[in-house]
Amino acid sequence: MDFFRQLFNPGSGSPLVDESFAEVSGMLQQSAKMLDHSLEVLLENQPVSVDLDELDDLVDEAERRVRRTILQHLAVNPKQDLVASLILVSMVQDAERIGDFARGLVELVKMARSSRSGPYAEELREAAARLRPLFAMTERAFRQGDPAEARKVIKAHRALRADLKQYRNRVAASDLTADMAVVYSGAAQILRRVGAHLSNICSTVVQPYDRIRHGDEDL
Amino acid sequence: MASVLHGVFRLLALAVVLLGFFLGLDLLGQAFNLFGKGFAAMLVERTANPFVGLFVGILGTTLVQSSSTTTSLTVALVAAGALTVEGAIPIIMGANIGTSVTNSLVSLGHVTRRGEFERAFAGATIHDLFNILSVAILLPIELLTGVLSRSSVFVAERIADVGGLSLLDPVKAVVRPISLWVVDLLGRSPALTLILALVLLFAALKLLVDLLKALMSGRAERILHQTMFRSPVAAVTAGLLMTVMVQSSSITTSVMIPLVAAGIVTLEQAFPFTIGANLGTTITALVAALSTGNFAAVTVACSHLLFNLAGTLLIFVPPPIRRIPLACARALGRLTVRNRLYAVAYVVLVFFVVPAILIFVSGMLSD
Repeated sequence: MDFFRQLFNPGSGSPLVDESFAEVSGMLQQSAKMLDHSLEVLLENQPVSVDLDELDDLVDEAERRVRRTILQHLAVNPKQDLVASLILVSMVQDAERIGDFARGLVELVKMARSSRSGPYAEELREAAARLRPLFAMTERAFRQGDPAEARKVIKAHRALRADLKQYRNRVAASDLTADMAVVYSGAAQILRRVGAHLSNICSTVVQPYDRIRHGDEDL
Repeated sequence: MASVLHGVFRLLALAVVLLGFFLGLDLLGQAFNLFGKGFAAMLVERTANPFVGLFVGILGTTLVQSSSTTTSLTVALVAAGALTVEGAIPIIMGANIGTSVTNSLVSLGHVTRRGEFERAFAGATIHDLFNILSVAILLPIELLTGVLSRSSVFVAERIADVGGLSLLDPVKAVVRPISLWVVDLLGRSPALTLILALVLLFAALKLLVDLLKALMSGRAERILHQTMFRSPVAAVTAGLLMTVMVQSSSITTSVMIPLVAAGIVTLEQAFPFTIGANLGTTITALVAALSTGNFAAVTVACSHLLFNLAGTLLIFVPPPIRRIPLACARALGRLTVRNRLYAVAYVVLVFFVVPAILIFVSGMLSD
């Protein structure tokens, strides 16, 4: 069967795998919107005006759809796009977690007894501004299979991760009130985790299958 | 330009394989002509016992894992006068049962995880149980009343009225001279002609399935994805379309097993899909029969379709009856949780041992 498939359908992938990649794109876009709103609530002191639970449910349902779709594809064509299928199952977990973290930011804000302003808030704003473009870059990287774009995301995350680690150390050593220290430190951790998940998605483009999510030091 | 060439190449490959299929059918008819009326009469006598026919259909299909091969062979034998319509119908019924061995074997691939295997095995046996129940109900009815053969004659007459018997005459016009040339090349030896016919038939059907699967796999995925979970009617349609596209009910029903095993398709959703596959596989015998232009052969092919339709109406449509194979399949699945060897024993007994023993016993009783 493989002989005929390669002979008669060269370069044609599975429609269900293509659909799943599009679904993951949609999840990233949805999670990015959730993150934008959560950051407005956190850093601009805006009220919550979007039902983030409902949006997160949509992201979760998309994850379930991708899993079902990939299984359907593998049931019909187990050898076609096998690695892409396995990668999608891994990737969709990262995309779903980003939505959870975006919702987690709003939960964090509830602990704050005062508005967020000053140098620590400004630093978080800058970190968020460095993180935000990585969403579109990640989507381009995995949709187009672009290793150069993927490496940019991984390197950007690595730099952001180091800076956020130092930020948290400074927050810990500061004279901020306990609630604000928790909020700022927690938010930094969330931004770091979001970057990590975007980096994981990009690692599927540049790493061998068994080293997805690991070994980005070589890049 | 490349895609046009590709398209031409695909069509040529399909044409060659189909030519091989029709040539195999014609050679089979030629072989039986060469064997003479005595051989045909002996075969007719041997298959006069409907239970022998039934179990030959089960065992033969189990061994080749293709109901299309068995039904195409049966149709060709009827066209050659080596089988009567009454003798062929039980074989067709047996082929329906035998073809469900494939998904039972596929379910064994989930044997290492108990919960998964319980679901997979239930998903496989729902097909077996539907087919066995259909035979259990319809074979006695057919033996007592002949309703299936009479209905098949009626449908075949309608096909003949609209010129259906000569629909594939252009194919015969191409195939017959080649067939006669091959027979001469083989020194008009009936045995050699029969062997070549069988090899050609098996090979052509296998290649046809592989070729169509390669060509249609993307569309098959879409059909499964878009129609599977909507409604029972959509599931029947999905099963039917996929089977017609890949010309194999075994492949179609086997696709369902990992989905049921994973728990994303329920047994209730898989059941109508399986029935659709049963209906879709009747196309092959119909095409084979039309290629012979023989009324009796077309009658047998129609009986395959009507048998599956009747089974669907009697067993699937009424909710209380539908629950019977579902409950039995679940019970068989639960049995495998206690000991997975029950599954292996089931496959060996139902598809191999019992048919073989009953062929032998029925044959002895006939003698």
